[in-house]
This record gives sequence, structure tokens and C-alpha cells, in this order.
Amino acid sequence: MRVALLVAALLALAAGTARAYPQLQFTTGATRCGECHVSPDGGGLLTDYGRDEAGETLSGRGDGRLLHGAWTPPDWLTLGGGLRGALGGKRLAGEAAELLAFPMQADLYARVAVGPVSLNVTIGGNGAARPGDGAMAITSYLVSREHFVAFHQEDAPWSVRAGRFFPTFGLRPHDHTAYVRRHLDMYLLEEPYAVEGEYTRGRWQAFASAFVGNPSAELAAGDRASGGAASVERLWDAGAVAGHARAAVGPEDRRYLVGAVGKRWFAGPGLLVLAELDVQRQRLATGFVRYQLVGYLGVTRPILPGYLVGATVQRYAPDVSFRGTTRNAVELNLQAFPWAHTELHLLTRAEATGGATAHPNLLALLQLHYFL
Amino acid sequence: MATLAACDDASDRPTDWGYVHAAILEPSCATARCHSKAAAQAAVDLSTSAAAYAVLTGRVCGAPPLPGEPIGNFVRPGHPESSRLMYLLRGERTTIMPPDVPLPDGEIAVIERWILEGAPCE
Repeated sequence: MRVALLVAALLALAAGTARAYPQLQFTTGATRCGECHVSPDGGGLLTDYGRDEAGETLSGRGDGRLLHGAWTPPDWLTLGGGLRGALGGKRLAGEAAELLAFPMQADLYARVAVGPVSLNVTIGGNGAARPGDGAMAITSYLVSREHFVAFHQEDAPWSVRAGRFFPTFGLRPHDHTAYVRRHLDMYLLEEPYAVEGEYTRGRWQAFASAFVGNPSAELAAGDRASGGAASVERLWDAGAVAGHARAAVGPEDRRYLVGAVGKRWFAGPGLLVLAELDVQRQRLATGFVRYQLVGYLGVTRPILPGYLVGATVQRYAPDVSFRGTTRNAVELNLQAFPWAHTELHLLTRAEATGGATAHPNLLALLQLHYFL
Repeated sequence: MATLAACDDASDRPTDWGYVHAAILEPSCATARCHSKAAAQAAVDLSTSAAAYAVLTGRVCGAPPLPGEPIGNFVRPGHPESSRLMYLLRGERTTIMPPDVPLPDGEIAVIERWILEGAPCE
């Protein structure tokens, strides 16, 4: 009973994000997302190698295995989870400062595999950065952001999956407020239902997907468009370049996106550079056409075992020819992985809307993260 | 690049509801924990064009206006100066909306013009 209450309390807390940490690619020796994560696109459950890396390479202390090695699940079962909360403050331009403390994520991940077929499910509480007013539907408190069936034969160069997940393209950082997620339909609960194929050959990796919007407005957000996406990535030992495209047709618009990603690890100075640039043509149902731009440039440097410092510059132009609507953000991040399973992430951001750089919106958040 | 190319202002943008909702309100406000259908903070669902129009104006799009002033809506057609939505967007005497990243002045100006022109739904 106590355990059930504890689990219920945790699930009631929150859920937000379960994406990968692209800043760990290359810096820890792994070059592909699928080396550390069960899913080839990264995020969510860790492989045995990923858990070893989390425990030994990243933090240098502790046992990265499930429950710190106290119990080893059978081979057909992979389990994991994440618990994340935040505290800090923000100050909008011209407004008083506001203290923040809120749950972000309480997720459980499970993968059941029978031969080449696996069922992958994420279930968690639905987080909130501010108190609700009691009007929420009961179904919105407990959500499954991802659930899909995957087929991957060992050593085969391809895999397929079908279910609910984000189509694979772009940097896909774990921070859902990053412009390349927030403004490219990868924000909270915006996962569509999709069928996706992945093909790896040598240093090339490609994804292609078709998706439809979530049929339930109670379990999803966003405009629930349907369409297709594709991405191709070329890897080197210390970097990668990728290109992607997506077409999405929603009830109120049609969007056509092309973009590129670059990743480069400079071993000498110990710097990882991540960049993404996307251009999107949006045609509204009324016939109006506008072009949008989303950009991300980040630099990360490991300073000590288990400690990363980073800076990002981001830009989002919802309408490139509409003066004063562009949003720019500068972030400084400090991530610490002091022990296996734990992370402290201090995020500071200055964000200017409409070119008002003299009076930016300020945000400082300390995130506490524990994963099973 | 975006800044260099930008030369239009609010007067160059349409003031029809299709633009106001699809280009401004839905992407900025109808997010998972705010004004999506599921969350509907303050009982405001901005996730679809029809739902948003109804909750903001108190009218059903395509139906004739009801006699008298609807209670509890956010838009008074033709009168942005007394429309609650404008006070929320500018944070005047109330919490600013959206609370994390306020809308640019240009987008607020488009909404203001839409209200001034009678807040039509087509």
C-alpha cells in the first residue's frame, strides 16, 4: 500500500521530457544515440553500455545499473525511469521577479522484447509549471507520451517502429523549451502517432516516418497535423552532419520544413559544438504564407569528470518578414553528474522578444534529476 | 538573417481570425499545460479555431450575435480598449499572458486590430 501510494504520488507530480542529451554524444566516446539508448533515435531507456557510461565515465562514482545494481531484470525486460524537479526564479521585462518551484517529470519506462519484436512504453505524471484551476480532465494527469512496437533483428541494418513518438530529425535536446523543440512541434505532449523506418549503413544513418495527429485532444497538445519526415546523418569519429525535411498538414495550415544539423567535437580544447538551422514555409488555410526560421548554436565543454559547462544561442522568427517578432535567447548551463543516477542542472537564460534586448526576460532554474 | 529581412509591420498582416488563431494564439497559447483542450487553464480552451473563438468572444462562429453582452468573455468586438484579452496580453493590472514568453508588440497589435474591426470569425 505504501509503495502504491508512493508511486501514485510520484506519478501525480509531473512529466515533461525524456529526450537525449546530445551534448554527451562524442564527448564520452559514443558516436551514435543507439549506443547508449535502447531507441536508435536516443532518449528514454539506457542500454547496458549506456548505464556503464552513466556510472563510470560520466560521474565516476556509483553503479549506473538499474536500482544501483540491486536487482537485474531478465533479458526480455528493460526498465528505467526519471524523476525531475526544478526551483529557481524568473523575471519578465517590466515585471516583478517570481520564484518558481515545480515538478517536471516522473516517468517510468519499460521495454518488453520477444525476439526481434519489442513493446516500448513510457508512462508518467503530467507536470505543471504553475498550479491548475481544477478544470483539467482526469486523463491529463497520467500520460503515456511514448508507446510503440518496434522490430529490430540483431545485426540487421534496419529497424521499424509504430506507435506514439516524435519523428526523428534535428538535434532533439532534452530541454523541451529549446526553440528547436518548442517551435518545431516537439513540445510537451505533441508526440504524434507514427510509423518510422531506420536504416544504418557504415557511417550513414537515415530515418523516414509518416505520422498522424493524436486522435485524442485529451491526451495531446499541438495542432495534431499529419505528414511525413525524413532525415539523413553522416557520422565521423568526432562529428556529424545531417539534413532533414518534414511536411505537416493540419486543420489550419500546411508546413514544409527543411533543416540541417552539425555536430563537431574538438578534442584539443575539449569543446563540442552543436548547431541546427531550420526554415519552414507555412501556408495558412486563409491563403496567407509566411516563412519561419529556427536556429540553435551550442558549445559544451567538460570541465571535470561529471561536470559540463555550456552556452547556447537560439533564435526563432515566427515570420521572418514581420519586424519585431523575432525571439532570441542566450543560455548558460552547468550540468553536474556527481553520482551515478543523479544530475544537477543549472540553467540560466536571457530571452528577448521582438528585439527588446535591453530588457530581456530572465530565467534561472536548478533542476534536480534522478533516474532509476 | 531574420532581422535583416524583416520589413513588414502589424499593418501588413491580415486581421482575419484564421490568421489570429493559427499564426498567433494556437502556437503561443494552446500548449499542453496551458490552454490545450486537456489543460484548459481558467476554463479557456484555445486549441481549435472554433473553441477559441467561442471562449474569447462568447459567440459561435457563423451564428448571429446573441442579444446583449455575453458574460465572461475576453473580447468586446470593436472595443479593444475594454477587452480583457488586451489587458492580459499587455500585463496591465493583471498577470501577463503568456506568462513565460509574452507576445511581441507586433502580434499584439494584430490582435488589437482584429478586435477593432469587430472580431470577425471569417
